Amino acid sequence: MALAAAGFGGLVAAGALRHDVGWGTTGPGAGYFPLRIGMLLVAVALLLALRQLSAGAAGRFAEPGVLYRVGSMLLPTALFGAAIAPLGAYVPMVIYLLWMARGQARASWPVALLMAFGTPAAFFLLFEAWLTVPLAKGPLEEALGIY
Amino acid sequence: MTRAASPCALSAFAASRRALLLGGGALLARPALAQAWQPQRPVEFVVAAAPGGGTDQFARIVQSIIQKLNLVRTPVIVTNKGGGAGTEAFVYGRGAAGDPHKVVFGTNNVWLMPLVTRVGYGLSDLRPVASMAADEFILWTHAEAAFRTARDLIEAARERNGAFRMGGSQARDTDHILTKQIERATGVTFTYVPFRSGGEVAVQLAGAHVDANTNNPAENVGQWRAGRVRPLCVFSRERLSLTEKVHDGVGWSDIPTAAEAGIGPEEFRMPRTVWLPARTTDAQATFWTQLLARVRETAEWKAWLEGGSQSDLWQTGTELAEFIRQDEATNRDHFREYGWLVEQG
Amino acid sequence: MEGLPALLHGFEVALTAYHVGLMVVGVLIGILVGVLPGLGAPNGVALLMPLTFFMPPVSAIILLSSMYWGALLGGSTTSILFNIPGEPSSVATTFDGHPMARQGRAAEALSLAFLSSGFGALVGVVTITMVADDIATFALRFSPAEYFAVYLLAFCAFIGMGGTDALKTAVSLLIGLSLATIGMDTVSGEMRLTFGQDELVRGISFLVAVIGLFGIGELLATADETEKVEGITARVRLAAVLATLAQMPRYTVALVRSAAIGIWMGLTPGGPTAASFMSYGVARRFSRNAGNFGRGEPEGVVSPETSDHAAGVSALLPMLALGVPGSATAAVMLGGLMIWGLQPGPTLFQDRPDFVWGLIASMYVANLVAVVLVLSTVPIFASVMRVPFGLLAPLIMTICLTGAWMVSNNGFDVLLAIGFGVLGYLMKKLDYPIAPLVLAMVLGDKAEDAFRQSMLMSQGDLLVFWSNPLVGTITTVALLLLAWPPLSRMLRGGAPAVRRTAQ
Repeated sequence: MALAAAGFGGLVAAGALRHDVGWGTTGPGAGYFPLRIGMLLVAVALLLALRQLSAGAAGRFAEPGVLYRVGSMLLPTALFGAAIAPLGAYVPMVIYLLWMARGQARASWPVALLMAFGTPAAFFLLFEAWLTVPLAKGPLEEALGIY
Repeated sequence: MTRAASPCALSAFAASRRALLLGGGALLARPALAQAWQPQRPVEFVVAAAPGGGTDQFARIVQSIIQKLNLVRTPVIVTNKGGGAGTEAFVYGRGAAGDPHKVVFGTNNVWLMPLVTRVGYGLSDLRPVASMAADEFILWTHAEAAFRTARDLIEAARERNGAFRMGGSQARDTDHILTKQIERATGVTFTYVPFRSGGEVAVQLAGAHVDANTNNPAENVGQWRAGRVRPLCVFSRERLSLTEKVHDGVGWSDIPTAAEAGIGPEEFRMPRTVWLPARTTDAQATFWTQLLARVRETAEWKAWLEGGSQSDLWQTGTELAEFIRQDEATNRDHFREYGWLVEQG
Repeated sequence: MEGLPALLHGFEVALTAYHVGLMVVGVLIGILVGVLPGLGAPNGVALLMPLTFFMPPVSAIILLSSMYWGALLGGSTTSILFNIPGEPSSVATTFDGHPMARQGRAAEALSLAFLSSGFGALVGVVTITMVADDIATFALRFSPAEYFAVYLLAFCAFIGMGGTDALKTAVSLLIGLSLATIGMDTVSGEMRLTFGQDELVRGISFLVAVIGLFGIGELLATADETEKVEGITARVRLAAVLATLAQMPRYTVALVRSAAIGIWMGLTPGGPTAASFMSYGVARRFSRNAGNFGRGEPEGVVSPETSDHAAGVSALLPMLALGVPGSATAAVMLGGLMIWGLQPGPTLFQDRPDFVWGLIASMYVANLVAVVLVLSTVPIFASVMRVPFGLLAPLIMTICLTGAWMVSNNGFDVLLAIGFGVLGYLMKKLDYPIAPLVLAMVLGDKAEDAFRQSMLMSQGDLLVFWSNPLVGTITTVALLLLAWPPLSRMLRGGAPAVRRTAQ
């Protein structure tokens, strides 16, 4: 974590170098603060990493069981998130909810189906029909002509 | 969560429906626009600004008139994409190439932004449909300032040798460009202080934290009415037409033009423009042009123009394209001079 | 007190059956949009705007402002129950509100939040009633130097009071500051840290980050702890609400202090979000239960909520008087004002006293209505907590991702939210504080702009931050607060005296 933060700090500092990083007669340039922030972040994060090293690596980050549980939630969610832009919100939503309810939580079929189809329906009524806030649309919506 | 919330949603839905129907009773029957092309899907008006400002109002007023007169059969939704000084909306327009259901609302920033900063679109990614209005620019100062005329202001600025503070909204945007043009025309230098919005600049001037600004009429009129700021000249060839007196017996039509006041540039205005994505057909562009022409005839539209002291500026087709080409070329030369020009690539 | 007859006239306007009805509708819609992350008060205002064209302006503003109060309250609901701040200003409420909910004290936390909101709003309105005529003059004294000083004050009050690992706090803060600089720079007009990516041009939306860090991060962290989260059984009855009401006097000090902070931040350009953070920071430092903060301390709910609402209420009038919106919501309302044919500005108070005082009077009534309505929803919302985690989690996740999409209709934001979710989870797991990151994102770029504007205006002279009594005092207090922990060690025993000045 500390090393990742240091890397991010380096990136920020590098990005800042594209701009005026000096302190001109009329105050700091566009890159002044980002450069300092980035360098400071590198320094603090490295310090933190050193401290952790000297304290001795205090145990593993997580048990394999924990990683599995977190992963089994994160992975489908990430896939769902990635699918929204190309496929629209509704189709991935149904698949995701069905998978999570049936495959992960072991809910009964009626509950899982109700959740998987009820939620998008509720979303459609609430957001699109009433609040006129558009959700993402994909090929299916286009084919059905509701978009 | 949605389940718990739905009872109130439904009751409020019913309430809003009722109110809409009440208002709808007075509406005209749907007039048939005889056209080769009509929108087939929900239309999205993409605003190149955050909610609340002039560009946002521009899109929303057009939307409300369209809905009131039922000029489009499908729903019209307004979305704001104001990131990167509006470039977010134009990049979105580039992504929607060929889709006539995405209408982009902007200003001259469509062709000026690519000159001064690296953006993800080019002018060829959008197709100009119409320019519907022009926002005027006025040189203002605060009530306690010693100078009474624009010439006095320029002389005062000359004496202060660069320390004269000119407030404006955003860097390298219209206010900044106008400030540079005044510098070019008069040979003085200002310290330009960029703020986030015209409203903020108005307050900074009223509080005498900056010495002058070049706000649009609507942005400063509140403070003028209160007597905290004064107009010195309007950057237009003719005086403003509104005769209403705003403060102390002085009104819009009493503001001298820049030429009368003896400073330059003679004219500086910001057109309010409407665009379609590239690769849309002529028939599609014609539909929107004719629709906007009808919007322009309505009393609501005229009232909005007058309320913001904006001028009517109707340009379409090749006339508009030619105007954009020339304006872009002029500004390109100026920006090169200021060292603002950015190569895209 | 020339305001009193005007206020009474205002009540005549506000207390008609039609207007009270509008308040109820507005508050209900507000609660709804406030509860849904990504959808906030600005959407609610934009939604209701077309309806207002058929109304007199005073009815229109009553409807819209009631919606705003409802949204502020709805935002707190999700903060407490799901650790998802529905509105930016309710981020600080999650710090102790959510731990309380997980201990089975959801009803207590919600009731506390709503009652203290009501108190904050009330104090805010009373103050506004007294100073209405002078607001515009006061607000005009704020130049960028004063803005910077106010942001600095909020920063220092929150950071200087912190108790966690200094290095980790610094990392979190610096990441937040870096994220805040992404996108277009106001002062130079340059695109910063976008690395040529179009998606980054608009900057990183604060809302997207919050949805990820808090909402998604919390779900991942809960999955990590698993078994024991078989639903939080919250037995909720109206009696619990009443019991909480009876406890309120216990928090008098926190309430008064937070209301004062809220009003100050509302009248100055700080705004509700900064106010709630600052109030939380100050409460953590000066509370007798300081050690319990972050673990479900009621005072940690009372303080940010009171300030949030006090600031929200007192920020509305400067907006009308100056025409400068302090938030996206205010910006849409301001646009509406012009469409209704009103010109915001100092003269609005003289030109349209019926409008201004009708609005002020409606704030008394509408906030009362809002608190009553939202309290009656507590049992409904708290019962959501009984749904098993395995089913609730994907539902909340869906709402989070949809919310992230709605922030600007963009797929990149959804991925960004998931990324922030992982970051939030890791930070929680490794004991990095998240709050400094969030605060830095809220205030970082505004503070930088204000600083550089001040430098432009003073020709690069740093003494501008001490150039008049107003800015000098704020800057000095800010720096004192930052240096407070070491100072207090030196001056042990002198704390009570200083506490009074810090308020």
